[in-house]
Amino acid sequence: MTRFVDRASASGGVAETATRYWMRYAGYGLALGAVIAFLEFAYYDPLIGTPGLLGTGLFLSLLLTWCGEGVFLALTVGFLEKRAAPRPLGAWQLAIAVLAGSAVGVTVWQLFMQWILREHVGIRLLRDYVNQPVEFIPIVLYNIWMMLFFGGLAAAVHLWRQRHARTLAVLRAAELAREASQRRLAHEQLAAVSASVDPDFLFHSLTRLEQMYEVDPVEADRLLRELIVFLRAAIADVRAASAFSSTQ
Amino acid sequence: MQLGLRSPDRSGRNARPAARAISLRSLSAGGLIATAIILALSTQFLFQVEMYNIWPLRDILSGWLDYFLDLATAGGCAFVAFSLAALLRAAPGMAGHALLVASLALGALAGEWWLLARSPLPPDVSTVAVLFAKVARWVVLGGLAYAVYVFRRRAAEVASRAHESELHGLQLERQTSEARLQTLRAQIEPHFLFNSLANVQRLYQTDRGRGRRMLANFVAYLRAALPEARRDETTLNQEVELTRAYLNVLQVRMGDRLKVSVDVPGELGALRFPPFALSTLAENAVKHGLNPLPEGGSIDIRARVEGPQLKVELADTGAGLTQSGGSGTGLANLRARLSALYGDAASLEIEANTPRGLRATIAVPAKPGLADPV
Repeated sequence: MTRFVDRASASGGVAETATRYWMRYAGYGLALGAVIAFLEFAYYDPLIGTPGLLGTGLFLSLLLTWCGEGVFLALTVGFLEKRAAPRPLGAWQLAIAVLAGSAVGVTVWQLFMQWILREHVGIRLLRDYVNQPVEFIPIVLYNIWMMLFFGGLAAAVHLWRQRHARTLAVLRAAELAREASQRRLAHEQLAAVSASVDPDFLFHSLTRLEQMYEVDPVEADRLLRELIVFLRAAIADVRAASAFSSTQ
Repeated sequence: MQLGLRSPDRSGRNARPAARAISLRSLSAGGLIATAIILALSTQFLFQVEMYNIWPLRDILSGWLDYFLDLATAGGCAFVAFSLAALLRAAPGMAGHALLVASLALGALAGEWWLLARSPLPPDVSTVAVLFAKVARWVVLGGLAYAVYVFRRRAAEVASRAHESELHGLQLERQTSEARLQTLRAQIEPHFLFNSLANVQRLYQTDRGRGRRMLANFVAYLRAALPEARRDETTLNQEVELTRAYLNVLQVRMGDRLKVSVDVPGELGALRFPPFALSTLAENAVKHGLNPLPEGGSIDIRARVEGPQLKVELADTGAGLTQSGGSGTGLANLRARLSALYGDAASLEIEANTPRGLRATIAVPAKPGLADPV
């Protein structure tokens, strides 16, 4: 596998700028957060039974929570992958990245959500909607569990998607090399064919020549001269062909 | 030199028989993974930390078991529906994936419905909304797990295709070097033909008798040489005949400047020998050994068996190593052909002949030859 990886990175496509790289991983985090927020909203909304504006507020609050935590997780994975490049993260390293990203991300984001957004901006959290006390530790534990579960599954998809892309790059390189060999072989075979003189033709000419020298030496001489001209051309062909193949 | 090797495209994804979307083996492995996912999902129950202050541990654990059983029921229904769809014929592309995920959703819906029928919700909660939330969760979980499976399978497929392609590339490389070898061999032939015919022409104008003899020798050489060029192995007898015919042609040209003696015991004649090996040595000896000398010289060919090896030796009394110009390529080609045919079991040794000239010895495994094709 390592051989494949090295070659894949060597022949990897267009280089991605650092900004685009981080944007891509932030995008993964936002998508993950949005999916979790959607599932949570679908689960809690009917239990609260509060239609209209209140529901919209709940959805936005969930989106803010999970997208923030998701971005933390994805950026952690992206950071560790960039550090390990050009080698990809192994499955265990990725698991550790998800664990660290979830724990740190959820803690930091919940500190921000609870102490700044809730206290000073007045944004309501899920527990405000379901009438439960907003306590730091239970919320953080529950959210870490959610991030580990869904983030872990998403990370598994990410891992195998990357491996698939890498093997594809290897395949492309191998096919290109194969096509090059195919071309070389075709040229070489062409050279071999044009180099060899058809034996039947040669036998025929020479036996005729033997007979003609007995009957009509002048005509035989003409035939022989033509044969020599032909062979000189054949030699030139071979030279050209071998010069071509040696420059390949 | 067949170009029509198996193309790797044919064994790729396109050629997969339109069978089940997922094999039974993969499905049974998937069942284990689904169980693990459901077990992991059930631990969500334990992460509601406030309940540890309210409920005794026993109740929490039995609550966890109930929750797990509920999840296993719904998840099991989803997995069974997914598997049934997967055992049918695979639909191509995204439609196939969508079909599998849709059947997973249907299975989850059936399972959750049954669970809700057993323990109904409070009247003010919408059953449809709860069902939707639960099925959506199963779709996300199952979809992610299925995506892992799809990417894994594709990666494995692509890796095996890449491997096959590399292998095919190596085969092509080998064929290319074979073709190059043939070209090199053919490079010598027209040259020789051309020179000999030019000689025939000149002789016919000056000495008709010798010219006729040369033409006859030449035809004899070609008769021996041309069928040989298309084979990998011949017998020592055939190769000696070929070399003798070749030297006969040259003798007409060089006259007394070329003397030839051949000493090959009759019982060795049927042993296998690589074609054009001895004649290459003869050509080399004449070109670089005898031709530069005004007085010419002699060529002696001997063969013997030493242990497991047949040794064929060609000694000349020519100019020797010191004055030979570009004798390298012919011998290098011969060496390459010997090692391609026999590996380490064959060798070509060049040493100084006494009193002068070169002695080249070809050693190949002594094996009885194939039946004479003529």
